[in-house]
Amino acid sequence: MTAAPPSERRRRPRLAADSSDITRRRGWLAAASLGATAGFLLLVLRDGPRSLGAPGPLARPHAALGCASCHDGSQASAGDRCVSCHGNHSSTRAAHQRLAENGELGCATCHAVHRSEDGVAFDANGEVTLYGSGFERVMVAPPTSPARPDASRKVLVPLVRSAACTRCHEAANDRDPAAHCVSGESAFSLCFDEHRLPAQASARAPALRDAAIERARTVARGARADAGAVASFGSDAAVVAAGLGVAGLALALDRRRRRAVLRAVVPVPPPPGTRRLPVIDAATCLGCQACVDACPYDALVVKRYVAVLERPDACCGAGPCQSSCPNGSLKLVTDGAAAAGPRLSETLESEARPGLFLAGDVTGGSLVRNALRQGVRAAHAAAARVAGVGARGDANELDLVIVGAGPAGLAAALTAQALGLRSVVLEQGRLAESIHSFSRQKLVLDAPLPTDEKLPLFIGDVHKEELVQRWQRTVRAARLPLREGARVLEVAPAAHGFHVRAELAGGVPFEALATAVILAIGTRGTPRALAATLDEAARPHLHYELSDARSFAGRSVVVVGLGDVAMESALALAAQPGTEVTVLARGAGFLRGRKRNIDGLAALAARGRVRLVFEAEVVRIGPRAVEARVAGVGRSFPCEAVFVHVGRVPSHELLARAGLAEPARVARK
Amino acid sequence: MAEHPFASPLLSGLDAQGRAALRAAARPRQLADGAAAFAPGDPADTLWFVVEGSILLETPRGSREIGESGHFGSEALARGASRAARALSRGESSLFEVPVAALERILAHAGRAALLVREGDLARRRAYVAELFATPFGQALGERPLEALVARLREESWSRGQRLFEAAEPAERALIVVSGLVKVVSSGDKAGFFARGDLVGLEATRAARSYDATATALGDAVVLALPRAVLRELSLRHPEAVARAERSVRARLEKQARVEELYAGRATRHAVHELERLSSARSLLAIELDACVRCGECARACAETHGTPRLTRRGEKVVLRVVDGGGLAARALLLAEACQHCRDPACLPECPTGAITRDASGAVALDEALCTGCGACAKACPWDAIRLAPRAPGGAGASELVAHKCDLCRGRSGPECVSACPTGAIFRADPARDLVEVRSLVGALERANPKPDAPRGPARRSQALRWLFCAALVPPLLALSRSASDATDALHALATGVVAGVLALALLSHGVLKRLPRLRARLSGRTGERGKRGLARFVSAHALLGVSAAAVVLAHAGHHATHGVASLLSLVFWLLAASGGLGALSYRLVPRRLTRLERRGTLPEDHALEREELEQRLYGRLSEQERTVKELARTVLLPYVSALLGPVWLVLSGRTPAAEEAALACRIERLLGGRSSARLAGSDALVRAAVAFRVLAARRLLERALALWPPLHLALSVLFALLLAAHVVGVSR
Repeated sequence: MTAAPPSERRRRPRLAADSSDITRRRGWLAAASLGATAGFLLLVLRDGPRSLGAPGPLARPHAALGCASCHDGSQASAGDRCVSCHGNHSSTRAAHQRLAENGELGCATCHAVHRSEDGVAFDANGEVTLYGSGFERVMVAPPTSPARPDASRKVLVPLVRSAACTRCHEAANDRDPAAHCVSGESAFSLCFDEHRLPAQASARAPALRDAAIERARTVARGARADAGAVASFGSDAAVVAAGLGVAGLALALDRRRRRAVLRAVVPVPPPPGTRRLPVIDAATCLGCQACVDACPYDALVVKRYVAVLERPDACCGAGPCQSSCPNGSLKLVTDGAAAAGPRLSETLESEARPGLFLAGDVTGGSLVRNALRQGVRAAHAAAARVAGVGARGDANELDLVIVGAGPAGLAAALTAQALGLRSVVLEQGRLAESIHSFSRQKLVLDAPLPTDEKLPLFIGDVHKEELVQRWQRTVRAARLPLREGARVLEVAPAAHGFHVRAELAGGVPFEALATAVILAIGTRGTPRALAATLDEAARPHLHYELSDARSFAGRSVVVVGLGDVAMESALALAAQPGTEVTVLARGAGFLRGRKRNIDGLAALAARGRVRLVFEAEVVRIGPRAVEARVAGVGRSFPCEAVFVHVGRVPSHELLARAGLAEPARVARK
Repeated sequence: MAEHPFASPLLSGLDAQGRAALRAAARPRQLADGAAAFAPGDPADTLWFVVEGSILLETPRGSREIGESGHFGSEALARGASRAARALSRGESSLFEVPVAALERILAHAGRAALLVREGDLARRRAYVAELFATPFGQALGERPLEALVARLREESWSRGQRLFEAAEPAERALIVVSGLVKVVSSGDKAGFFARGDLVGLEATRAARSYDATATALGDAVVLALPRAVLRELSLRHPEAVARAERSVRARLEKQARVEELYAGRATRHAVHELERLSSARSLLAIELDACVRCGECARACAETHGTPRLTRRGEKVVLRVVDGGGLAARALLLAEACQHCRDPACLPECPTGAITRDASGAVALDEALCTGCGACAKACPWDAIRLAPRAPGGAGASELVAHKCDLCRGRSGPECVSACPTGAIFRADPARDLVEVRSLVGALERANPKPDAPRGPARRSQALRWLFCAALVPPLLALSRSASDATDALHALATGVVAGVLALALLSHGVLKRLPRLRARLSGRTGERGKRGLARFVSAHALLGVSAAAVVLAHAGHHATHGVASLLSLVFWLLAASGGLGALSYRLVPRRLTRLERRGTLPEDHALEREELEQRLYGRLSEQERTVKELARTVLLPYVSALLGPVWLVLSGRTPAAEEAALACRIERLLGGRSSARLAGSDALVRAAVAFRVLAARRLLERALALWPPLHLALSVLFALLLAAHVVGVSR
């Protein structure tokens, strides 16, 4: 953005479009709910459906039991059921026995099955595992452990957490009888004498039991009570991650679904060869300028609040004027007087010359997107023909010659490249010359295509400058065999194909035998050459198009002609610093052209920036000067470059020479 | 309208179609005795016709009575004029008003355009006199001489971007600016802005030289041409008027120069570039970029309310000083794409059916029933504020497309975008009153909006107090949690659990609560007071609740949660708290950094295009350079561009793009050992392009930081809700 004044009025109204601010949040809630449900379901799967209602999962010894084993629905506490399997283990301590008889102390008070039932398991293979509610941890046995229990047996030693004791006892109080049981070094109580005193134990399997208890004590000493938290963190994190992943996936799929929904309806293109003109109902026309702004060729103008077709010759016949009219006052009506173009088959092959295809504006249609479609179709048809001609066609140097690098030619070239045909594109001027000649900032391509029809080069609502730039990038990236500045002189039928003769940039001749030819030459025609002597040395300085005015800064140039193209060239050159511009015109004054150009050039001439010479007939173009007769007097205009803009030869001459039928009256722009 | 007198000389002779069009465009009005149709100074866009009763037009010069089938208000025929008289109703009267543009079209269709031409000419002259009379030049001249002068001069109508005269052109006329803004750039690139009542090109015309500057119309402008002879006469007869005009212009130009100097060093655009937009706006929608968290809630609320979005967060970024409460503050503002209700709207005269009208306060409204979807208004608006969209089914009007633009949410309790902003960054301001630069550059010539329709300045929020409160709340709660780290006490667990649950429910219902005011307003259809701060309050409440909930949960669950639902629940909660905390932190820290890196307001979907353009610029320019520069690029610039952590460094260093360019240039200098930089001409542009790459990547990084955590937070909170339900059910068994 520079400090230049704001641009002029647009040619097309902007359509409201939802920005990403609005579309970003769509589907978030649904995706989040889906992900959350997925995570929740994973949780249920992991822990079992019953675990949702449980205060915690069951650990190793009871893990296989179902809820019904302990909870039988009766009013009795589940803790009373321990006795049915384990037997009634009374306490060795009188105080505890008293409490048990009162019902204040039960199995579950110290052994909390759901919340923290812990223990040490000695497996048959010598593994030592510390287990608790929801976790298991294999311990490394300390080296100075007492005698191992019998390796052939599996032993479980239950542990009780200190927290169970400290509910009633105070660990800090020295006078408390349980103070020495609850030491700070372990989360577990290390006494193991609640149900059976050590002395009593000697009666039954003494060595095994004591050894087991000793080892369990060692394990318990170093164990942290929050082992469970660490162990379950991994699986929890996995559940959360899985839930979020599902949410993300749902969102991405939703986005893709939304993008695939399309809205616009593509208007049906007219059959090739017909010609239509706009007819405006003055009674209903609002004078809103929509059709004027939409016309790429400036054929319409608003006079006294009503639109009028000012230049019917410039009308292309099927443009966006009708679709831009807000109330249907403008309708395109078939002009019966116009003749049809060359007769073409469905696949755009000319009936007079098989193997010769036409695509784009030359078929009589218009609209860039139709040209693109036709280019693709013609390339496919040409490929079919090449395949059909087969071995005989291999003798030719090329499979396909494409004449013209406008939308149709480029689309055909890209398709041909994709199909693997040996092809070349010959363009007399620059890439997309006709689109380049649209007025500045003209909008190209109005309605979007259906998304399943992916045309290369189709871009959408875009200004012509941007369109041409993007196409240039595409052509460079695809390394299309494009020859600019090549004027095709003849396309003559030959054995198994066509003999194409052309003159490349710099006068280099070009000849090739091709199996098929696509003529995508548009309707603008070829620049007309001057009827003046041209020195060979002057040829590099002679130009028919002005592509980059900046490269002529500081030079003296002569422009021959006074039409719109000549005036625009002169204006562009005069805007460069240090240029000396002389305009040689055959007429006596300004005869035609856009008012803006005439006013601009007249103002520059009045200021002395540009020299306007009327009644000048160019006689000779030399390497350093142009000689012309001005009102009968011969004069020489020294210059470093010459631009000739004296009109265009319509393209039907090439068509006629190629042997096609009498073409339509080609519109002159 | 049942009765419709086409007896008025203007309207008789309209055929049925013309009458139908007139009926559609006309707005009927009933006035009681003594009520005013309009007052002096009101914007004038419509012509009034009297159906019944009579109207008294009061001007300082005298009064005139308009009877039945008469018409008045023809100053509207001059575009941009304001009412010159007060129109009072004598007795009960029934009137209708028609937008002038529509009337002209209807008459032209009927072939009777000539009727308005003379009246239009007179009206225009009178309007020019009225406008000029309010300026120093007009005041010094006096009314009669001014009228005589205006009658002799030729008017020139220029549209935006056109050059009134160019430097080195022979000076044949001086110009008196009547309306619009003219920018004059002299050879030293010094720009001056000329508005109503200023004389342009005086010296050159007087001395019969050529102009020494180029004058461009920044908007649609109307000027009167003063040929040399008339200028000489004027200088002879009224030298003091000319001198006075020159003096005021000089004073203003000096002020402008001073303002420009003040901001010369800034990297971002200054008000001078956007002066035309700022001076023509009556209610400018601006977003304060240091507070904006790029969430897009404003655009979303607008789209939800109206069906199509009327606001887009794209536009120019300008640093302006805003009048805010008692003081001034320099803020980086984004001028969003939304209707700014211009003083002289470009869209209004373009509408062929008169669907665009203005009310007395100056707000520009669009009637969808009259809109035909032709798009002329959208094409005329210089700032893309009007867009076309498919018509909603069931409304009045027949066209497929209809024009949409911001209408200040009339009929609602305030602009939805303003109340939807979580940080209070978006606001509407009147530049002539609230923006210091506009006042000083264009001066008191622009009348401030007499009836303010937006709160002054952006909403201010005091963050510090809030965070202090949070910080003060946390220690006692943490102390509570430490006292029960084992959490086996059932009562303690229950108490903290209940509190945590309640807080969690409050947090979860944030999504519902924040929509409550809007829902309430919609249900009751109130049009209450405007400009509530809305969402911002809920967001800060949510943050506060979050901090307290975290402390309570710490007390409840302690450091260990058992396996199963509880542990998952606590994990999800801590993830929520972390994401929320990080989000709050990013909302606080990121916008400022981001603003410093941005050149203009862009949306994430523009980044791809920008990147393509940058690539084109860098590689295109690179290919033109000579070998040494290419080597330099290969060793320094391209690695700089593709460094993965480069954007992170840029963000952390806090440099602006200009500073970063300087740093990179320094690095290159050091590398080259201080060799002459003359050989490396062109490397400046490359350095700039390379830095632009990194800046773009840094911007994307920061925008992602702002935008990624909300969906995460939302997903986790839904999971949290489910798990909380399961936990509560399980525990209560």
